[in-house]
Amino acid sequence: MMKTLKLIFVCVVLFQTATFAQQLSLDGLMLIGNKTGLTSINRKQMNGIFRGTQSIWKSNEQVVVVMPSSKAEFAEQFAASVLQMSHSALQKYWLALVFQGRANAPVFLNSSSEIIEYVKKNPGAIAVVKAAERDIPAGMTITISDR
Amino acid sequence: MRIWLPFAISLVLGMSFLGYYYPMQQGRLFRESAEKNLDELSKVLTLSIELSLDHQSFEGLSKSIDVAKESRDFEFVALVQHDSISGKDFIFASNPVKIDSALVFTPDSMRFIYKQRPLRTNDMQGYVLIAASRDKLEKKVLELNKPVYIILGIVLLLSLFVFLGIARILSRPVTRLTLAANELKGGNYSIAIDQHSGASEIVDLNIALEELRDALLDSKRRNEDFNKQLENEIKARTNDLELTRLRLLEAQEVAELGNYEIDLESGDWHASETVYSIFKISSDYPLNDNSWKLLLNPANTILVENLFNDSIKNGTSFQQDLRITPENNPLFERWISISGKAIRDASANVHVIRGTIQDITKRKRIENEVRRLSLVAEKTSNCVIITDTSRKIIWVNESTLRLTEYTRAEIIGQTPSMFQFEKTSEESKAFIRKRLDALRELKVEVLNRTKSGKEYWLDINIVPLFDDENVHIGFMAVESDITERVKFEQEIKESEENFRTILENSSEMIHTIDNEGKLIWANRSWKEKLGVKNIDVQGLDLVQFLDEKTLEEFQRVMPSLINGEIVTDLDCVFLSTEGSALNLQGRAIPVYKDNVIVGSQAYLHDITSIRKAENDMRQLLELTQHQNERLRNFTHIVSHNLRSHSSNLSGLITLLSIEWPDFKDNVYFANFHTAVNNLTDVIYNLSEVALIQTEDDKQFSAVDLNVVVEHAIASVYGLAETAGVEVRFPKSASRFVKGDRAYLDSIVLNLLTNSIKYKAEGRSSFVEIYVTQSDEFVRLDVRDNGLGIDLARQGRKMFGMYKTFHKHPDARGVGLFLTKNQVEAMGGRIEVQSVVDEGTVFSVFLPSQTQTE
Repeated sequence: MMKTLKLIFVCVVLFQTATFAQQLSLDGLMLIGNKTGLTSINRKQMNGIFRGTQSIWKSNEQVVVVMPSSKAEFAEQFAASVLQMSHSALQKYWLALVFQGRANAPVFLNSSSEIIEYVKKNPGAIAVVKAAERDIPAGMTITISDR
Repeated sequence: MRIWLPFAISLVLGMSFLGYYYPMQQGRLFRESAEKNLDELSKVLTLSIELSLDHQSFEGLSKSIDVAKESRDFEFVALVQHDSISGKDFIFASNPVKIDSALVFTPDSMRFIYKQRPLRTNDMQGYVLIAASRDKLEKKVLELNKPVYIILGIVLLLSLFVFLGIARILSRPVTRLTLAANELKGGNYSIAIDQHSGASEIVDLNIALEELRDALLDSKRRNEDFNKQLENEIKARTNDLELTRLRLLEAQEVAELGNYEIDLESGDWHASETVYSIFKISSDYPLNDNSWKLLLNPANTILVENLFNDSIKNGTSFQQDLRITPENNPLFERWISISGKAIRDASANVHVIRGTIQDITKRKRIENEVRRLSLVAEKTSNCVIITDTSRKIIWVNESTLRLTEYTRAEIIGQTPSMFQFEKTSEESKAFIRKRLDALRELKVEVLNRTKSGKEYWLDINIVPLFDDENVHIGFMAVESDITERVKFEQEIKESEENFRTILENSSEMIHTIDNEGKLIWANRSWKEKLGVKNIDVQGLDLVQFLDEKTLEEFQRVMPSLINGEIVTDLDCVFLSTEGSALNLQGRAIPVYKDNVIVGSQAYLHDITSIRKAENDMRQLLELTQHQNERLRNFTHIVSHNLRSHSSNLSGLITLLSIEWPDFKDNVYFANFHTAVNNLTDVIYNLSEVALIQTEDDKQFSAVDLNVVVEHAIASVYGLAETAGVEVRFPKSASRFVKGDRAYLDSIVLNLLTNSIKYKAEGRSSFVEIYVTQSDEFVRLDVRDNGLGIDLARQGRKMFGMYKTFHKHPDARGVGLFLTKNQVEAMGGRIEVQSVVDEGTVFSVFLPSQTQTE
């Protein structure tokens, strides 16, 4: 009986993970960054970066988190897809982090193009933009691996 | 105080004030600034948060947080969100992350400075609270002020050094002048006072010192003069003081008054020499807490301790008279008066007792004497009356009341004449008045009368009384009741008359002579017998009446009489004027007048006729002795001659009866024979008695009576056995008598054979013999239970010659007669006790003698 219950629990978890990966890719968003050699990160790393828990790259370079402001059309999509919270909650979350001094202040921009422009100009910056954005420079895209 | 000191103090105070005021102001400004900064920071933070939430610009917030954290006094910042649903506040975020929520919701203003700003955004309502630590702020203030303190301290020290240097330079002339002044103070007025400074004040001081020096020199000279005068004055006063002290000591010594001081902490006494003298102790006697008690007896010790304690407790002074008998000297008894007081210091503590001790033995003796005299005056049997100068009675004693029978109230205020009456001699009264008027003492005998009319004689001695200023204050009469004496004198007078008559008419010859042997007085008998009946014998020499031998005797006894001895064995011959001699015997006694021997008185008895009778008697005695001797010789001759003849007759009759036996049957012959035998016995007995009575010079020796008795018992053993009489003689200690052994044998044998001979028939007979000591005699008792003797009828002739009391064939009435004579010849006596038909006890008492005598 216990064995059966454990198996059911594992299956539910696996199903949920499969569902999340499916959504991220489905929402039409893309992860970009201005970090040489960085082409792929896993979901956990991405999650840590946007939750402010990782503020430095492995090369000791500061991580600059760039996120869409509430004025951006994919703001809520981003908050829900990446951080599984509303944009308002995201703001409060980061307010708390910055207030407590636990994270560098993130940069909120109003559109994907502004985000792309900002990432281009700021090494170490990482952001999520709409995948349908045409001006995404090659080499800035970072894939999310399942590992 | 140094002159620069106020300046130095002012400088120090100024610098101190600066050191206090400046940092304080700086601190205050810093705090205000910090608070303002904090307020501004809170504003910036609130604004940054609003920007972060409403415009997603977090850069400002991050920097604001960094700025806040850079602040050294920053403690924490909290973002408090208000939940509009629950209405409660909660900490949304804080920096540092973990803070005590109580510090947020219950601010501690003592520890922290709080600044709060409201937060109003679209997504969040609440407030921002920022806090700064006051401790950190104060540290910051201190750090800020530290350089100020250091600088001020350095400045102060430098100022002081500089100031001291300047002060030293400035005060140098003053110091030198001070030294000069000290020299002047030390009496060195010859110093030169140089000018050390051009400053006008110093120059003035220089001049003033010079003037002072001159003035001091002048004063010194005047002082020296004055001192000399003072010295002389002090010397004179000291001498006076010493004189006064010596007088005081003398006065103390005379008054026997000493002072003492007791140190209550150490218990030591410090006393003047007089105290030692009072207690008769040497000056090295250690007077301390305990030793002083030895000077008093225990009761006084307790009393004095109580006085001390009361004085210490109450602060009162004390005075007590004590009769002391010290334990260490019981024979030393005297009175002292001790007074004193516990002395309190400024703190009301008592450390010492000071006082005086005075020897008041003499005063006490006088007081006691006065008391005794008062008592004597009051209680004496003599009457004592005291009057004032007007002779009104002001005091009488009890004896006066008793004698006069008046009450005190009746007497006081009266004059002593109230006791006089018509029989009181006018002459005596006048004498009294005269002497009293002259304020002279007097002594007189007067007859007075009591209240009830009883007469009495008084011997009155009146003395005038004077006070210390010799002012007459009254009279005192001491009156002795001499009524009895007056009566007695009258009786004596009468008695004297009687004796004089008796002496005058006595048959004894009585004369009185002076120490020269001249007659003063002689009684009638003396005059008559010496033939000077009608002659006044006064002045005649006694020796003219004495014979030659009596004159010698007179010259022998006169010195003894003059020396007060009584001569009792006077035997003298007085010659009458008619030439006859009077044999006189008597005694002479000295005659006194005013305790001085003025002569002698002789009481002589005329024994002329007695002396004659004595001569006659002496002649008669000599004649009797002569005849007695002749009688004794006769008795001796008779007894011996008659015994010879009777023995001859007895022998002849015996020869006749042998020669002619028929004569035995002849009645006449038989009677003749019996008569001759009886004559022989009589003569034998008579000779025995005569022998005993004539042997006056018989010598006696010590003889043990027990031996005599034992010998007698052995002699009568056969006779007692035959008669059936038991002889008992308890063994006793040897008893020696002074006697003749033959007499003693005869006495014991006679008494023993009598007891056997006169035994009673019909009962067992016994004889008991006891030898005992009775005073100076040895007592021999011979007791039997024989026939007994009727002493009432025959007692008087018990020891008579030829007295018999029983019809016993052997009874001849000679034995007891002989026994009695023998006993008495040895100085003893014999007694008898007897009851008819019960028995007889003969008791012989013989002089006791020890064997060695």
